[in-house]
Amino acid sequence: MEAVFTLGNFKKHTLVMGRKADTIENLSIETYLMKRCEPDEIILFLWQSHHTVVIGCHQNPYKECNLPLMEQDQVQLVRRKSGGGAVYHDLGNLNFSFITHLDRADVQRNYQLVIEALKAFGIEGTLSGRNDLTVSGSKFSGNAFLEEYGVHCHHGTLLIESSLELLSKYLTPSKLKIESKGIDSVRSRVVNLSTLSEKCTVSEVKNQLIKTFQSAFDGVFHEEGTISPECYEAFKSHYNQWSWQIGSIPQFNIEFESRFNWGSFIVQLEVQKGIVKNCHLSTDALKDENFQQLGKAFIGKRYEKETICQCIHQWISNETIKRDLIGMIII
Amino acid sequence: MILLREKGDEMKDIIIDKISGHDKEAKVGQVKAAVGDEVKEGDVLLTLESGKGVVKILASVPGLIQSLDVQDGDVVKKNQKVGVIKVAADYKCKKNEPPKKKGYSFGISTPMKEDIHCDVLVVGGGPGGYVAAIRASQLGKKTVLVEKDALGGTCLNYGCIPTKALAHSVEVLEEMKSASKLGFQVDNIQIDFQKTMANKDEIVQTLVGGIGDLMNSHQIRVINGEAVAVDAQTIGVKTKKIDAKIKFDKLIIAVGSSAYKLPIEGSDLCDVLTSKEVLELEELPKSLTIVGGGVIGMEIAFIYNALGSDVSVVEFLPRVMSMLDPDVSDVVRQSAIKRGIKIYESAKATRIRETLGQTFVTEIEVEGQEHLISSEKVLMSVGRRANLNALDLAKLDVELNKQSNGIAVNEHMQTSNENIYAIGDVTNIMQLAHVASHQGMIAAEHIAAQDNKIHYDLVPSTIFTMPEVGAVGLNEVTAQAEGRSIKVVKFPFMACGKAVAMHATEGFVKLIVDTENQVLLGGAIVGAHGTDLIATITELIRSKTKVSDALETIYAHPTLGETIHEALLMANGSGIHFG
Repeated sequence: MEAVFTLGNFKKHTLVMGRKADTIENLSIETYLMKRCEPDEIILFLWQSHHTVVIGCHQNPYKECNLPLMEQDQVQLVRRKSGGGAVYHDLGNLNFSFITHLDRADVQRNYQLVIEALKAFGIEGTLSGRNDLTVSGSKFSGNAFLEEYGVHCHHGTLLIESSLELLSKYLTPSKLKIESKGIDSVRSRVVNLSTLSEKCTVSEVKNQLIKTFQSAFDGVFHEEGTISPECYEAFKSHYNQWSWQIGSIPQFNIEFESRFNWGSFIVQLEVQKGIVKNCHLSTDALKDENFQQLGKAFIGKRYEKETICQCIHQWISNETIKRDLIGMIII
Repeated sequence: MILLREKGDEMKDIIIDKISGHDKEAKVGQVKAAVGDEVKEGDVLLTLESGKGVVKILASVPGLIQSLDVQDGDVVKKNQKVGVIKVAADYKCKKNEPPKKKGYSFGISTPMKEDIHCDVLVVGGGPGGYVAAIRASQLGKKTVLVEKDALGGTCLNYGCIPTKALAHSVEVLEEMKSASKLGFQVDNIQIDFQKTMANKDEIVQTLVGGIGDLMNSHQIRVINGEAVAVDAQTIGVKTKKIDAKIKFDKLIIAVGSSAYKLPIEGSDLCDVLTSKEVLELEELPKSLTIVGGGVIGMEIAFIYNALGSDVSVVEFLPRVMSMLDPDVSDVVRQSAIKRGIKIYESAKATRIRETLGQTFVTEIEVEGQEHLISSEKVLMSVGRRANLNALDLAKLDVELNKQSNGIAVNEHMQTSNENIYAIGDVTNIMQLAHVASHQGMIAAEHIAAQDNKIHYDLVPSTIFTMPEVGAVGLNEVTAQAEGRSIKVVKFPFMACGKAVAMHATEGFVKLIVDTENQVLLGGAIVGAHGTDLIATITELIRSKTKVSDALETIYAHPTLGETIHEALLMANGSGIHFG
């Protein structure tokens, strides 16, 4: 006889699927589900994203990812509300979110469910000390948590058929001198589940998770399908705001140093809530340029490419120096 | 940064009330509010991250951020206070309203029932109780300890340790104030009282945590809750989490004492403080009246005087610190007066009244004349009473002593019920932490069939005034009253090179020698590090060493220990540097 796998009783267990592979839309649905979650309910939300780097709530993207390369490849950058480090999403990756009221939150139960589902592929996942799911020491799932309004959300990634080459490229920051007070990512060896089992594809893992979720709980199973846009549209703007994406970067100091044929140049910036608080320039250039004014001009301005370029255009007249300076400051 | 606070403003602490998961500390992700910000109830003040989880710390009341002492990247602990909100004047406190009905339970409404049996049950986790528990466990007894507040009891949480932490802080402050004569110009010393108090809290937390670890390592189960006597073999503890019935073979009662307030009009006003509250003030009072010039009163007087409060001490007896010989207490008294502490002796506090401006007027009577002392705060430090109502002693068949002010015990700390022991302040024998600990060990050892007895004739006492005092054994006044033939010698710190180098020339070493056998009966050291130095004299008395034998010991130069050596030389009639 087959042993019955059970994870306890909820009045209601609800399954929700994402509509589009759009991170901001899906995180907004997640917020909506958190607001809507009933006391004795557990919601599983399965979703995907196209070509996105998602960073933790308290992370500094300048430090965690290769922004110039991402800009070039049109990879979206999104800051999520939960903690932890930076992850790369593409269509080879499946995301899950478990949502319950705080008094029913149990991350071990959620992990068990995922591990159980993967057993159907002969994969024995284990939980690492860093809240990652691993197989023989290689990570295939990163997890993070948040609490809001008495509701708990545990979400995680599942690397199934992702491009590990791109993942590594985007999550390797350009070599910047940066001191940041936020949370740093921890680099891990990663593995795609499809390399462990041929049957393992995104849609098969999805089906298996649904099957396990459906049978693991007593009580009413409610298959909700997708959520209609008017429910979550209002939550989208949060993720698009400059104050969230950049303004939430914990205080950091960043330094750029380059040697040009007209002299060497060092810029040190202190940035708080996305605003340059302090700036120190030093150069041995002999050119008659107003470097000190340029340094002062940065202060109080947003730390973003447009504004920085504007300042350079305003105070520097030599075209070569202008181009070199814009080139060296990577934002 | 801290905004000025006006009288009558209601303040609410900003507390780290939650951390993600079961973590004990978290990193501050982002501080969203700043001092001076107007916040609404529920506004996000800061976000915390631990173990990849994020939680938000919200404003519990609407108002103005008065202080906020964290920055991005700081590590905070659960229940840490990180700031203060000045509550908006129109905010009605909701705490008296019944909680909103929720359609579901948090799962804590029914506490877990448990029947426990143990060899030794200790009620009270102060310096008596926790030491007794450790010793009982070391002697192979299955031991359980019940504590309703924090491990460490009064000594650690509300007494000796916080006082010593503050005494050390002001010692540093005093050094800074007098640094210019050593060639160091220290100008514009800023006192951040909140930080001084936070340092004290951190020291207390460290030590409380340490006792918790000791309990774990000795496999002592600690139950947090209030003990109730069920019958002479059973104690009950009921809290939200647990509903336990504990059957014991032996019980050790170590429930301590509480600060006592004089039964005079106004002593029950909520701003009349006891030693517990005066060590937990959030703002430095401009002025402080201390009723009771004993050890606690004088220690507090020196601390708040150094921090800048205008301090007055009212003592009923003819002199402050009357348990000491007059020449010893006079050194401290003179030092207090020199520092601007006002001392009223033979003065009876008769009434305390609150003024419209929320200050206090203490009415005192000196030689039939009435005087008024006005101050921002009043401290009552007139002694401590045994917590005799903490347990229903009748149910336990435990009797009180003749004066009915403590539990009666024999020399093994056994009460009238042979299965029940009592130790520490609740016995009202000597209200000192080190006595309680010693009594605790005696009780536990007796339970394990070791026939040890306690002696109280050699208990040192220490007083953290400026200068400090350490005293042990008989004092001069008692020795004379007992009609002993004694020789008294005093060696002044002024004649000790080390003391001069330290600019610590106040005070002396005083020895009381029995002229019949040339053995020390008692001693007192008033002066720098007197509390540390007294150990040497305690040992000389205990070992009944003759003065001439004691003089065979070489004392290192240059040290303050030489003052003891010189005093012994004087007792031998052979002083070198003095007398």
